[in-house]
Amino acid sequence: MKKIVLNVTIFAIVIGVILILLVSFGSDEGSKYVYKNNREHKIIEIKPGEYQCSECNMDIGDLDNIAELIAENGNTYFFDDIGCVVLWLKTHTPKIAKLMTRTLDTHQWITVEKAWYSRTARTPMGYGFAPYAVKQKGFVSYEEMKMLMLQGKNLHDPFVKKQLLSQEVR
Amino acid sequence: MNEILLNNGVIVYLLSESVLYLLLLVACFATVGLLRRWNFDAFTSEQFTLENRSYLVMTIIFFVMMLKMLLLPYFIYTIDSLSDLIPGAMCGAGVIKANRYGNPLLVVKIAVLFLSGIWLSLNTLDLKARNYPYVRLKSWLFLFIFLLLSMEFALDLLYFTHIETTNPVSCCSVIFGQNGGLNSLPLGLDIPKLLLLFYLLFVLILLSTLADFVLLSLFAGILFLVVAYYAVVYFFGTYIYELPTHKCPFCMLQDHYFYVGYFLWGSLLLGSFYLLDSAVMQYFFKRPSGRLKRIALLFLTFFVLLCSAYVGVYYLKNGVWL
Repeated sequence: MKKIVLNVTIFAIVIGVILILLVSFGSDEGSKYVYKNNREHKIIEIKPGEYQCSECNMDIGDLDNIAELIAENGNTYFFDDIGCVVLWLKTHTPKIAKLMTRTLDTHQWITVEKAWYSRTARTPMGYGFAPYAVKQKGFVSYEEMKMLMLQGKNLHDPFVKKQLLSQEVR
Repeated sequence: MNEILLNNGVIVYLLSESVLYLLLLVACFATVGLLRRWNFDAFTSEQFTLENRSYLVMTIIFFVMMLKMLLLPYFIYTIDSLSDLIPGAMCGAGVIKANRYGNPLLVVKIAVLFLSGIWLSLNTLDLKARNYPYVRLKSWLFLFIFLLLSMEFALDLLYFTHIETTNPVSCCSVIFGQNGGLNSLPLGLDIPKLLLLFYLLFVLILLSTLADFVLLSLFAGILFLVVAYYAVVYFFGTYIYELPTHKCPFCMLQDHYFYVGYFLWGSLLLGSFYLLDSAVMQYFFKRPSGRLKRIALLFLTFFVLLCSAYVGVYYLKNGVWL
Protein backbone atom coordinates (compact mmCIF):
# COMPACT_ATOMS: atom_id res chain seq x y z
CA MET A 1 0.00 0.00 0.00
CA LYS A 2 2.82 2.36 0.99
CA LYS A 3 4.59 1.66 -2.30
CA ILE A 4 1.46 2.39 -4.32
CA VAL A 5 0.99 5.74 -2.54
CA LEU A 6 4.66 6.58 -3.13
CA ASN A 7 4.46 5.70 -6.83
CA VAL A 8 1.24 7.65 -7.34
CA THR A 9 2.75 10.71 -5.59
CA ILE A 10 5.88 10.51 -7.78
CA PHE A 11 3.71 10.18 -10.88
CA ALA A 12 1.64 13.21 -9.83
CA ILE A 13 4.77 15.32 -9.22
CA VAL A 14 6.28 14.34 -12.58
CA ILE A 15 3.02 15.37 -14.29
CA GLY A 16 3.07 18.62 -12.27
CA VAL A 17 6.65 19.42 -13.36
CA ILE A 18 5.86 18.67 -17.01
CA LEU A 19 2.71 20.83 -16.85
CA ILE A 20 4.59 23.80 -15.36
CA LEU A 21 7.25 23.53 -18.06
CA LEU A 22 4.62 23.27 -20.82
CA VAL A 23 2.65 26.25 -19.48
CA SER A 24 5.87 28.29 -19.27
CA PHE A 25 6.90 27.35 -22.80
CA GLY A 26 3.52 28.50 -24.07
CA SER A 27 3.66 31.89 -22.37
CA ASP A 28 4.55 35.14 -24.12
CA GLU A 29 7.59 35.79 -21.93
CA GLY A 30 10.73 36.45 -23.89
CA SER A 31 9.03 37.33 -27.15
CA LYS A 32 8.43 41.02 -26.56
CA TYR A 33 11.08 42.38 -28.89
CA VAL A 34 9.93 41.39 -32.31
CA TYR A 35 6.53 41.43 -33.97
CA LYS A 36 6.70 38.66 -36.54
CA ASN A 37 5.05 38.04 -39.91
CA ASN A 38 4.32 41.68 -40.73
CA ARG A 39 4.41 40.74 -44.41
CA GLU A 40 2.48 43.82 -45.51
CA HIS A 41 5.15 46.03 -43.90
CA LYS A 42 2.55 48.06 -42.00
CA ILE A 43 3.32 50.22 -38.99
CA ILE A 44 2.44 48.29 -35.83
CA GLU A 45 0.70 50.43 -33.25
CA ILE A 46 1.77 49.26 -29.80
CA LYS A 47 0.66 50.06 -26.24
CA PRO A 48 3.07 51.52 -23.66
CA GLY A 49 5.09 48.73 -22.01
CA GLU A 50 3.99 46.11 -24.55
CA TYR A 51 7.36 45.78 -26.30
CA GLN A 52 11.00 46.36 -25.39
CA CYS A 53 13.63 48.27 -27.27
CA SER A 54 15.78 45.86 -29.29
CA GLU A 55 18.94 47.80 -28.44
CA CYS A 56 18.69 48.91 -24.80
CA ASN A 57 16.09 46.38 -23.54
CA MET A 58 14.04 49.12 -21.89
CA ASP A 59 10.24 48.90 -21.88
CA ILE A 60 8.87 51.25 -24.51
CA GLY A 61 6.65 53.41 -22.33
CA ASP A 62 7.02 56.75 -24.10
CA LEU A 63 5.52 56.38 -27.58
CA ASP A 64 6.58 59.88 -28.72
CA ASN A 65 10.14 58.97 -29.64
CA ILE A 66 9.38 55.48 -30.90
CA ALA A 67 10.96 54.08 -34.08
CA GLU A 68 10.10 50.90 -35.95
CA LEU A 69 12.30 48.89 -38.24
CA ILE A 70 10.35 46.58 -40.52
CA ALA A 71 12.51 43.97 -42.17
CA GLU A 72 11.70 42.42 -45.54
CA ASN A 73 10.91 39.09 -43.87
CA GLY A 74 8.16 40.76 -41.82
CA ASN A 75 10.05 41.00 -38.53
CA THR A 76 9.29 44.35 -36.90
CA TYR A 77 11.74 45.73 -34.31
CA PHE A 78 10.87 48.51 -31.88
CA PHE A 79 13.14 51.22 -30.46
CA ASP A 80 12.44 53.74 -27.72
CA ASP A 81 14.99 56.29 -28.98
CA ILE A 82 16.30 57.04 -32.48
CA GLY A 83 19.84 56.79 -31.03
CA CYS A 84 19.12 53.13 -30.24
CA VAL A 85 18.30 52.52 -33.93
CA VAL A 86 21.73 53.81 -34.95
CA LEU A 87 23.52 51.71 -32.33
CA TRP A 88 21.51 48.59 -33.19
CA LEU A 89 22.31 48.93 -36.89
CA LYS A 90 26.01 48.92 -36.03
CA THR A 91 25.77 45.25 -35.13
CA HIS A 92 22.75 44.09 -37.16
CA THR A 93 22.28 44.12 -40.92
CA PRO A 94 18.67 43.18 -41.67
CA LYS A 95 17.18 43.77 -45.11
CA ILE A 96 15.20 46.87 -44.26
CA ALA A 97 11.80 47.34 -45.88
CA LYS A 98 10.87 50.41 -43.81
CA LEU A 99 12.54 52.42 -41.06
CA MET A 100 9.99 54.77 -39.58
CA THR A 101 9.79 57.14 -36.63
CA ARG A 102 6.99 59.15 -35.08
CA THR A 103 7.55 62.90 -35.05
CA LEU A 104 7.01 65.03 -31.99
CA ASP A 105 5.36 67.93 -33.81
CA THR A 106 2.86 66.18 -36.12
CA HIS A 107 2.62 62.83 -34.30
CA GLN A 108 2.71 61.12 -37.68
CA TRP A 109 4.92 58.27 -38.86
CA ILE A 110 7.54 59.29 -41.41
CA THR A 111 10.67 57.60 -42.73
CA VAL A 112 13.72 58.41 -40.63
CA GLU A 113 15.47 60.11 -43.57
CA LYS A 114 12.64 62.64 -43.94
CA ALA A 115 12.68 63.67 -40.28
CA TRP A 116 14.79 66.45 -38.72
CA TYR A 117 16.39 65.85 -35.38
CA SER A 118 16.66 68.20 -32.43
CA ARG A 119 19.92 67.71 -30.51
CA THR A 120 18.82 68.73 -27.03
CA ALA A 121 15.50 67.00 -26.47
CA ARG A 122 14.72 64.90 -23.40
CA THR A 123 14.59 61.44 -24.95
CA PRO A 124 14.17 58.05 -23.20
CA MET A 125 17.87 57.19 -23.49
CA GLY A 126 19.04 60.79 -23.11
CA TYR A 127 20.95 61.02 -26.40
CA GLY A 128 19.04 64.22 -27.18
CA PHE A 129 17.97 63.39 -30.75
CA ALA A 130 14.21 63.76 -31.21
CA PRO A 131 12.45 63.54 -34.60
CA TYR A 132 10.40 66.43 -36.03
CA ALA A 133 8.67 66.76 -39.40
CA VAL A 134 9.43 70.47 -39.75
CA LYS A 135 12.99 71.75 -39.69
CA GLN A 136 13.91 74.30 -37.03
CA LYS A 137 17.12 76.08 -36.10
CA GLY A 138 19.80 73.69 -34.87
CA PHE A 139 18.09 70.58 -36.20
CA VAL A 140 20.15 68.01 -38.10
CA SER A 141 19.34 65.50 -40.82
CA TYR A 142 19.24 61.72 -40.31
CA GLU A 143 22.69 61.23 -41.83
CA GLU A 144 24.19 63.94 -39.60
CA MET A 145 22.41 62.54 -36.55
CA LYS A 146 23.73 59.07 -37.39
CA MET A 147 27.27 60.39 -37.69
CA LEU A 148 27.04 62.33 -34.42
CA MET A 149 25.58 59.32 -32.65
CA LEU A 150 28.33 57.00 -33.91
CA GLN A 151 31.00 59.50 -32.88
CA GLY A 152 29.45 59.73 -29.42
CA LYS A 153 28.70 63.44 -29.91
CA ASN A 154 25.36 63.38 -28.12
CA LEU A 155 24.13 64.53 -24.72
CA HIS A 156 25.92 61.62 -23.03
CA ASP A 157 29.16 63.48 -23.69
CA PRO A 158 29.44 66.17 -20.98
CA PHE A 159 31.42 68.54 -23.25
CA VAL A 160 28.89 68.29 -26.08
CA LYS A 161 26.07 68.68 -23.56
CA LYS A 162 27.61 71.82 -22.08
CA GLN A 163 28.23 73.30 -25.52
CA LEU A 164 24.73 72.58 -26.86
CA LEU A 165 22.87 73.66 -23.75
CA SER A 166 24.87 76.88 -23.43
CA GLN A 167 24.01 77.71 -27.09
CA GLU A 168 20.35 77.15 -26.26
CA VAL A 169 20.50 79.56 -23.28
CA ARG A 170 22.06 82.29 -25.46
CA MET B 1 53.50 43.22 -16.20
CA ASN B 2 49.79 42.75 -15.70
CA GLU B 3 48.87 44.04 -12.24
CA ILE B 4 46.56 41.08 -11.69
CA LEU B 5 49.47 38.64 -11.93
CA LEU B 6 51.15 40.38 -8.99
CA ASN B 7 48.19 39.72 -6.70
CA ASN B 8 49.08 37.25 -3.91
CA GLY B 9 45.95 35.17 -4.39
CA VAL B 10 46.52 34.86 -8.13
CA ILE B 11 50.20 33.92 -7.66
CA VAL B 12 49.32 31.18 -5.17
CA TYR B 13 46.49 29.94 -7.37
CA LEU B 14 48.47 29.85 -10.63
CA LEU B 15 51.50 28.27 -8.95
CA SER B 16 49.34 25.55 -7.39
CA GLU B 17 47.59 24.93 -10.71
CA SER B 18 50.94 24.72 -12.53
CA VAL B 19 52.44 22.24 -10.05
CA LEU B 20 49.31 20.09 -10.13
CA TYR B 21 49.23 20.19 -13.92
CA LEU B 22 52.86 19.05 -14.08
CA LEU B 23 52.03 16.12 -11.80
CA LEU B 24 49.05 15.25 -14.00
CA LEU B 25 51.20 15.45 -17.12
CA VAL B 26 53.55 12.83 -15.63
CA ALA B 27 50.51 10.74 -14.67
CA CYS B 28 49.13 11.11 -18.20
CA PHE B 29 52.28 9.71 -19.86
CA ALA B 30 52.36 6.86 -17.36
CA THR B 31 48.66 6.12 -17.99
CA VAL B 32 49.19 5.93 -21.76
CA GLY B 33 52.00 3.39 -21.19
CA LEU B 34 49.77 1.50 -18.80
CA LEU B 35 46.92 1.32 -21.30
CA ARG B 36 49.22 0.04 -24.04
CA ARG B 37 50.79 -2.82 -22.10
CA TRP B 38 48.29 -3.73 -19.36
CA ASN B 39 47.31 -7.41 -19.25
CA PHE B 40 46.21 -8.57 -15.85
CA ASP B 41 46.27 -12.26 -16.88
CA ALA B 42 49.95 -12.09 -17.82
CA PHE B 43 52.31 -13.51 -15.18
CA THR B 44 55.31 -11.42 -16.18
CA SER B 45 57.64 -9.04 -14.38
CA GLU B 46 56.48 -6.26 -16.73
CA GLN B 47 52.89 -6.74 -15.56
CA PHE B 48 53.99 -6.65 -11.90
CA THR B 49 55.90 -3.44 -12.58
CA LEU B 50 52.81 -2.01 -14.30
CA GLU B 51 50.60 -2.95 -11.34
CA ASN B 52 52.98 -1.16 -8.97
CA ARG B 53 53.19 1.80 -11.30
CA SER B 54 49.43 1.91 -11.69
CA TYR B 55 49.08 2.14 -7.90
CA LEU B 56 51.56 5.04 -7.84
CA VAL B 57 49.88 6.82 -10.77
CA MET B 58 46.41 6.41 -9.29
CA THR B 59 47.70 7.78 -5.97
CA ILE B 60 49.08 10.84 -7.79
CA ILE B 61 45.79 11.38 -9.63
CA PHE B 62 43.83 10.88 -6.39
CA PHE B 63 46.01 13.44 -4.60
CA VAL B 64 45.75 15.98 -7.43
CA MET B 65 42.01 15.61 -7.81
CA MET B 66 41.42 16.07 -4.10
CA LEU B 67 43.50 19.26 -4.22
CA LYS B 68 41.66 20.47 -7.34
CA MET B 69 38.42 20.18 -5.42
CA LEU B 70 39.83 22.41 -2.71
CA LEU B 71 41.13 24.84 -5.33
CA LEU B 72 37.65 25.58 -6.74
CA PRO B 73 36.44 27.54 -3.67
CA TYR B 74 39.89 29.17 -3.52
CA PHE B 75 39.54 30.23 -7.17
CA ILE B 76 36.13 31.76 -6.38
CA TYR B 77 37.62 33.51 -3.35
CA THR B 78 40.51 34.85 -5.46
CA ILE B 79 38.33 36.32 -8.22
CA ASP B 80 36.05 37.79 -5.57
CA SER B 81 39.04 39.52 -3.95
CA LEU B 82 40.13 40.88 -7.38
CA SER B 83 36.97 43.02 -7.46
CA ASP B 84 38.96 45.61 -5.45
CA LEU B 85 41.44 45.98 -8.32
CA ILE B 86 39.11 46.16 -11.30
CA PRO B 87 37.11 49.35 -11.84
CA GLY B 88 33.37 48.78 -11.86
CA ALA B 89 33.48 45.30 -10.31
CA MET B 90 31.66 45.00 -6.99
CA CYS B 91 32.07 41.24 -6.66
CA GLY B 92 33.21 38.16 -8.59
CA ALA B 93 30.41 38.59 -11.17
CA GLY B 94 32.15 41.57 -12.74
CA VAL B 95 35.59 39.96 -12.49
CA ILE B 96 34.50 36.71 -14.14
CA LYS B 97 33.02 38.77 -17.01
CA ALA B 98 36.18 40.87 -17.32
CA ASN B 99 37.08 38.91 -20.45
CA ARG B 100 35.64 36.17 -22.63
CA TYR B 101 37.59 33.37 -20.90
CA GLY B 102 35.97 33.73 -17.43
CA ASN B 103 32.64 32.01 -17.97
CA PRO B 104 34.00 29.04 -20.00
CA LEU B 105 36.66 28.59 -17.28
CA LEU B 106 34.03 28.36 -14.56
CA VAL B 107 31.96 25.87 -16.57
CA VAL B 108 35.01 23.69 -17.30
CA LYS B 109 36.00 23.78 -13.62
CA ILE B 110 32.58 22.53 -12.51
CA ALA B 111 32.58 19.83 -15.21
CA VAL B 112 36.06 18.71 -14.08
CA LEU B 113 34.87 18.66 -10.47
CA PHE B 114 31.96 16.35 -11.29
CA LEU B 115 34.06 14.04 -13.51
CA SER B 116 36.89 13.92 -10.96
CA GLY B 117 34.36 12.85 -8.34
CA ILE B 118 33.15 10.03 -10.58
CA TRP B 119 36.78 9.02 -11.19
CA LEU B 120 37.45 8.95 -7.44
CA SER B 121 34.44 6.67 -6.87
CA LEU B 122 35.57 4.40 -9.70
CA ASN B 123 39.06 4.33 -8.24
CA THR B 124 37.71 3.30 -4.84
CA LEU B 125 35.75 0.46 -6.49
CA ASP B 126 38.84 -0.64 -8.40
CA LEU B 127 41.09 -0.64 -5.35
CA LYS B 128 38.56 -2.64 -3.33
CA ALA B 129 38.57 -5.44 -5.92
CA ARG B 130 41.58 -7.73 -6.14
CA ASN B 131 41.93 -7.96 -9.91
CA TYR B 132 41.88 -4.28 -10.91
CA PRO B 133 38.67 -4.69 -12.95
CA TYR B 134 38.33 -1.03 -13.86
CA VAL B 135 41.93 -0.05 -14.62
CA ARG B 136 41.28 0.44 -18.35
CA LEU B 137 38.01 2.27 -17.84
CA LYS B 138 39.36 4.65 -15.22
CA SER B 139 42.50 5.27 -17.29
CA TRP B 140 40.41 6.27 -20.31
CA LEU B 141 38.25 8.42 -18.04
CA PHE B 142 41.39 10.02 -16.63
CA LEU B 143 42.70 10.77 -20.14
CA PHE B 144 39.39 12.45 -20.98
CA ILE B 145 39.53 14.44 -17.72
CA PHE B 146 43.15 15.33 -18.53
CA LEU B 147 42.00 16.85 -21.83
CA LEU B 148 39.52 19.00 -19.91
CA LEU B 149 42.21 19.82 -17.34
CA SER B 150 44.54 20.97 -20.12
CA MET B 151 41.77 23.18 -21.44
CA GLU B 152 41.19 24.46 -17.91
CA PHE B 153 44.89 25.23 -17.39
CA ALA B 154 45.08 27.10 -20.71
CA LEU B 155 41.91 29.03 -19.84
CA ASP B 156 43.36 29.80 -16.38
CA LEU B 157 46.43 31.39 -17.97
CA LEU B 158 44.46 33.20 -20.67
CA TYR B 159 41.90 34.46 -18.16
CA PHE B 160 44.32 35.90 -15.62
CA THR B 161 46.69 37.37 -18.22
CA HIS B 162 43.84 39.13 -20.05
CA ILE B 163 42.19 40.95 -17.16
CA GLU B 164 42.61 44.68 -17.70
CA THR B 165 42.76 46.91 -14.64
CA THR B 166 42.13 50.00 -16.74
CA ASN B 167 38.91 48.93 -18.48
CA PRO B 168 35.77 49.22 -16.36
CA VAL B 169 33.62 46.08 -16.17
CA SER B 170 29.92 45.70 -15.43
CA CYS B 171 28.81 45.21 -11.84
CA CYS B 172 26.39 42.44 -10.89
CA SER B 173 23.37 44.78 -10.93
CA VAL B 174 23.95 45.29 -14.66
CA ILE B 175 24.69 41.63 -15.41
CA PHE B 176 21.85 40.05 -13.44
CA GLY B 177 19.61 43.04 -12.66
CA GLN B 178 16.34 44.17 -14.17
CA ASN B 179 16.55 44.73 -17.91
CA GLY B 180 13.56 46.99 -18.45
CA GLY B 181 11.04 44.20 -17.96
CA LEU B 182 13.01 41.62 -19.93
CA ASN B 183 12.49 38.18 -18.43
CA SER B 184 15.89 36.82 -17.36
CA LEU B 185 14.52 33.40 -16.42
CA PRO B 186 14.82 30.50 -18.86
CA LEU B 187 11.96 28.62 -20.55
CA GLY B 188 9.58 31.55 -20.09
CA LEU B 189 9.32 30.85 -16.34
CA ASP B 190 8.21 33.51 -13.87
CA ILE B 191 9.09 33.61 -10.15
CA PRO B 192 5.97 31.74 -8.82
CA LYS B 193 6.39 28.96 -11.39
CA LEU B 194 10.14 28.84 -10.72
CA LEU B 195 9.55 28.38 -6.99
CA LEU B 196 6.85 25.78 -7.56
CA LEU B 197 9.26 23.91 -9.80
CA PHE B 198 12.06 24.29 -7.23
CA TYR B 199 10.10 22.67 -4.39
CA LEU B 200 8.36 20.08 -6.60
CA LEU B 201 11.69 18.91 -8.01
CA PHE B 202 13.18 18.68 -4.52
CA VAL B 203 10.26 16.49 -3.34
CA LEU B 204 10.58 14.46 -6.55
CA ILE B 205 14.28 13.84 -5.84
CA LEU B 206 13.47 12.78 -2.26
CA LEU B 207 10.68 10.41 -3.24
CA SER B 208 12.31 8.94 -6.36
CA THR B 209 15.51 8.28 -4.40
CA LEU B 210 13.55 6.59 -1.63
CA ALA B 211 11.61 4.54 -4.21
CA ASP B 212 14.90 3.65 -5.96
CA PHE B 213 13.98 5.15 -9.35
CA VAL B 214 17.58 5.85 -10.33
CA LEU B 215 17.11 7.50 -13.72
CA LEU B 216 14.17 9.60 -12.57
CA SER B 217 16.08 10.94 -9.57
CA LEU B 218 19.10 11.64 -11.79
CA PHE B 219 16.98 13.53 -14.33
CA ALA B 220 15.21 15.45 -11.53
CA GLY B 221 18.63 16.22 -9.99
CA ILE B 222 19.99 17.73 -13.21
CA LEU B 223 16.84 19.82 -13.69
CA PHE B 224 16.95 20.83 -10.02
CA LEU B 225 20.55 22.07 -10.39
CA VAL B 226 19.49 24.47 -13.17
CA VAL B 227 16.24 25.57 -11.50
CA ALA B 228 18.00 26.04 -8.12
CA TYR B 229 20.64 28.29 -9.70
CA TYR B 230 17.96 30.62 -11.08
CA ALA B 231 15.87 30.39 -7.89
CA VAL B 232 18.85 31.46 -5.75
CA VAL B 233 19.92 34.28 -8.07
CA TYR B 234 16.48 35.70 -8.82
CA PHE B 235 14.52 34.92 -5.64
CA PHE B 236 16.34 33.58 -2.57
CA GLY B 237 19.33 35.87 -3.15
CA THR B 238 17.13 38.94 -2.73
CA TYR B 239 16.29 37.72 0.81
CA ILE B 240 19.96 37.09 1.57
CA TYR B 241 20.78 40.66 0.51
CA GLU B 242 17.47 41.96 1.92
CA LEU B 243 17.11 44.01 -1.24
CA PRO B 244 14.59 43.15 -3.99
CA THR B 245 16.74 44.58 -6.79
CA HIS B 246 20.01 42.88 -5.81
CA LYS B 247 20.35 39.74 -7.91
CA CYS B 248 23.78 38.16 -7.93
CA PRO B 249 25.27 34.70 -7.36
CA PHE B 250 28.63 36.09 -6.19
CA CYS B 251 27.95 38.84 -3.61
CA MET B 252 26.72 36.22 -1.14
CA LEU B 253 30.28 34.85 -1.05
CA GLN B 254 31.46 38.02 0.70
CA ASP B 255 31.89 38.67 4.41
CA HIS B 256 28.89 41.08 4.56
CA TYR B 257 26.69 38.03 4.07
CA PHE B 258 28.76 35.78 6.36
CA TYR B 259 30.16 33.82 3.36
CA VAL B 260 26.82 32.02 3.10
CA GLY B 261 27.32 31.61 -0.66
CA TYR B 262 30.01 28.99 -0.04
CA PHE B 263 27.58 26.90 2.02
CA LEU B 264 24.74 27.46 -0.42
CA TRP B 265 26.55 26.71 -3.68
CA GLY B 266 28.75 24.09 -1.99
CA SER B 267 25.76 22.13 -0.69
CA LEU B 268 23.95 22.38 -4.05
CA LEU B 269 26.98 21.19 -6.03
CA LEU B 270 27.87 18.44 -3.55
CA GLY B 271 24.26 17.25 -3.33
CA SER B 272 23.93 17.16 -7.12
CA PHE B 273 27.28 15.42 -7.47
CA TYR B 274 26.45 12.66 -4.95
CA LEU B 275 23.10 12.12 -6.68
CA LEU B 276 24.90 11.70 -10.02
CA ASP B 277 27.54 9.50 -8.41
CA SER B 278 24.98 7.23 -6.73
CA ALA B 279 23.10 6.88 -10.05
CA VAL B 280 26.30 6.02 -11.97
CA MET B 281 27.41 3.50 -9.32
CA GLN B 282 24.00 1.83 -9.20
CA TYR B 283 23.09 1.93 -12.88
CA PHE B 284 26.43 1.15 -14.54
CA PHE B 285 28.34 -0.76 -11.85
CA LYS B 286 25.43 -2.39 -10.00
CA ARG B 287 26.86 -1.27 -6.66
CA PRO B 288 24.73 -0.49 -3.62
CA SER B 289 24.69 3.28 -3.30
CA GLY B 290 22.55 3.82 -0.22
CA ARG B 291 25.26 5.81 1.57
CA LEU B 292 25.84 8.08 -1.45
CA LYS B 293 22.10 8.70 -1.75
CA ARG B 294 21.83 9.58 1.93
CA ILE B 295 24.70 12.06 1.61
CA ALA B 296 23.10 13.57 -1.54
CA LEU B 297 19.75 13.99 0.20
CA LEU B 298 21.45 15.46 3.27
CA PHE B 299 23.23 18.15 1.22
CA LEU B 300 20.19 18.97 -0.91
CA THR B 301 17.89 19.16 2.15
CA PHE B 302 20.40 21.46 3.85
CA PHE B 303 20.46 23.62 0.70
CA VAL B 304 16.66 23.87 0.45
CA LEU B 305 16.28 24.54 4.20
CA LEU B 306 18.98 27.23 4.13
CA CYS B 307 17.34 29.00 1.15
CA SER B 308 13.88 28.79 2.71
CA ALA B 309 15.16 29.90 6.12
CA TYR B 310 16.30 33.25 4.69
CA VAL B 311 12.81 33.90 3.33
CA GLY B 312 11.11 32.75 6.54
CA VAL B 313 13.39 34.74 8.85
CA TYR B 314 12.96 37.86 6.71
CA TYR B 315 9.18 37.53 6.90
CA LEU B 316 9.21 36.95 10.66
CA LYS B 317 11.44 39.99 11.21
CA ASN B 318 9.71 42.40 8.84
CA GLY B 319 6.18 41.03 8.37
CA VAL B 320 6.33 41.49 4.57
CA TRP B 321 7.66 39.64 1.53
CA LEU B 322 10.13 41.31 -0.78
